[in-house]
Amino acid sequence: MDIVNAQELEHMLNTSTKVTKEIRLLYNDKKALQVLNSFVVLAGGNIDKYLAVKLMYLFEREMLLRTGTPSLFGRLCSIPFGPIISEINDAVDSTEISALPYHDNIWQKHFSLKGNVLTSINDNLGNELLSNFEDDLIAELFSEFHSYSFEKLKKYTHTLPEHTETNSRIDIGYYDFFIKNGFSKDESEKLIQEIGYQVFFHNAMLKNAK
Amino acid sequence: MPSKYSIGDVLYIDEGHNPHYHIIILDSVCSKETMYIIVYLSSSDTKVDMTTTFNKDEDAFIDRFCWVKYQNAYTISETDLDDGRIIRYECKASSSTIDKISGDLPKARLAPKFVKNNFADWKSDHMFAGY
Repeated sequence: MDIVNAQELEHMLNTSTKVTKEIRLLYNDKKALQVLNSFVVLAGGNIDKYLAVKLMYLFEREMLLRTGTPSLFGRLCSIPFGPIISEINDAVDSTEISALPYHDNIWQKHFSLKGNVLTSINDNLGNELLSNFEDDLIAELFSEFHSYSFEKLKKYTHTLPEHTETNSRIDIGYYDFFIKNGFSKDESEKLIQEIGYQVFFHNAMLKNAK
Repeated sequence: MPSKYSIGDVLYIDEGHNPHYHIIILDSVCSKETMYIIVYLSSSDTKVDMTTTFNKDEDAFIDRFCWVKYQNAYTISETDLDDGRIIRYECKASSSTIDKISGDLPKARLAPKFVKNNFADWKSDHMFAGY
């Protein structure tokens, strides 16, 4: 993968079948589980589904804003209920108690969704994949948003600059994310190149590593 | 069987554009297969992690300002490191470079905790292995 410029990389990350498959490999289910579990633990063992999904999005958002690097590498999307990480939204839905059990669905082993309440059913998830920076960010976001009502949280997330009002689903690309959040074109291109390197190096070396 | 790589090895992925140098900081001496803790350097001037920075010529292979991207520090087995088949050896980092990174890794807030935990455990193993 020879990166010529940010637009080309962004195009590849968003539209190329090959690279779309590659960047999906970076999405880390185990790490996402540990982040979500950290929020659920702070909430006392169960948490409102909408709050959980939004906290996960805000976590990834803040990692991008503060470090320039995604933490979970999920697909960021605008949907009618505001911005989400697509894989996490689907994973949380898959834990609904009436959903069909799948033996390889690790989310169903750790969480149970009844109505709008997501409950931790297995507390041995650990948090070793996270950094101290991420631990602190989780605590900060929980402290700031845990008391928000559904309407207040919805209103807040709909005003985020990267969100697009839609009746369907619109991808939020990293380049657009940075530009809409005040990064210059030059800064955004450099950040995209760093993310591109991470995708490349991960696929070249870390496919089987922890 | 002796390990193929050792502490201080500077590697890069043969990818056709500006290489990011990956440095082996520590190896495991007690595991069945040799494992390595590796960090890589970034020269990006946006969102710099200031925990460990290097100026131009601070080591023979450092030709510009760069910094350790602890956020992407990783552990990897020798088998997996070889499996890519595109790893190239650049040179040996100086002991001062390794000491600088080894001293900063435990306090790097962006480094994953499993990497820090392995670092502490393996460091301890090295100390005991020396007796």
